Amino acid sequence: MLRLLRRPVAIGPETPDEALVRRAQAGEGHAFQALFERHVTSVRRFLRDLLRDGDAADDATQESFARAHAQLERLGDHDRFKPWVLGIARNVAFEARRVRVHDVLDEEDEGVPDAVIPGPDPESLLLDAELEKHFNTALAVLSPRRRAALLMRLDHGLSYEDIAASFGWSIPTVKNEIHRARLKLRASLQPHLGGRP
Amino acid sequence: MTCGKPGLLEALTRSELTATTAAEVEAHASTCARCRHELNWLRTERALFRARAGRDEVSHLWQGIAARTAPAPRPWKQLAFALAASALALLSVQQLLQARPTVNVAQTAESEPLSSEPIESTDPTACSRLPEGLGFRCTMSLSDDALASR
Repeated sequence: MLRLLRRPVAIGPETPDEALVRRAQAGEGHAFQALFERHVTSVRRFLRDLLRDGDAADDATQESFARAHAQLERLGDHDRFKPWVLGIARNVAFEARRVRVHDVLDEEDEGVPDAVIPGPDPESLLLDAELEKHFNTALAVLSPRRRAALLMRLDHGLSYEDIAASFGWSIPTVKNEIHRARLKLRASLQPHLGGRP
Repeated sequence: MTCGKPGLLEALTRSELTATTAAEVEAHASTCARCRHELNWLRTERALFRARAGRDEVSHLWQGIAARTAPAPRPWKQLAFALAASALALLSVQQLLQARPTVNVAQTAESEPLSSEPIESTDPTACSRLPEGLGFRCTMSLSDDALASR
């Protein structure tokens, strides 16, 4: 009875994900909406990078959060909402691309340079539209799962442990895949970072 | 110090090191070409990714999700309500049956008796449906059981 009479605690920017997940699991719709608002930008950008199509990314974003809502009871680690929902998003994207998650790892050795790639000068980097276009193209040539792992790490800040759990890979495999993706990304970008050897 | 430990350089770009360790890594990278090269790439990657962040228009996406995540009525609540309504309906029917008036139809003294016992009917409209002029005396009364239940 006391629980029924207790007023809900306000949700704010400082409310941790863990608390929001617990409250959403208890049926508070506003808590789930707060989780959505906090992470939708990341999820949508992640899906756009994987699917390379804005409309498809919108649909996949909605599907990802709908699945997250339906499966929220299963999330035992309440502070891991972001890696969890990104893992769901990755599955949604792979289904959309008809890529099976249990396929063997992508073999892209022929595209991975062994030599040291000349480094840029980040201080003088001009982030114009042209460079961003080349950056997006460089990301696009990576295989879907290697790209997903790289994005989870570099763009969304997930730990190697979270990525390994999401993919069902070992941590050394995750590090190796991200390293290979990085080398290929750098090789694709280097010609467009002219004047910054 | 960081040569062979690329994780330290990455941790530096992610602001995960203490101030003291960060200063040591920075100092080393300034004198080590290999680490400086790696650090430049890590910072470039970070700058490129951060430049794209936050540009996506996402405000329209919640409507579609809200429609799919609306809380469904809890089945046990529906079941409890249905059971309570059924019980209430059964109780009402029972009360009505017990309280139904009994109609006693008897012949008047002038006519030839058909039976020594009054005719009982559970039809509350029996009196109004009897034809007039035949000498029947029709009264409505509650049975003892019905009275007791009230």
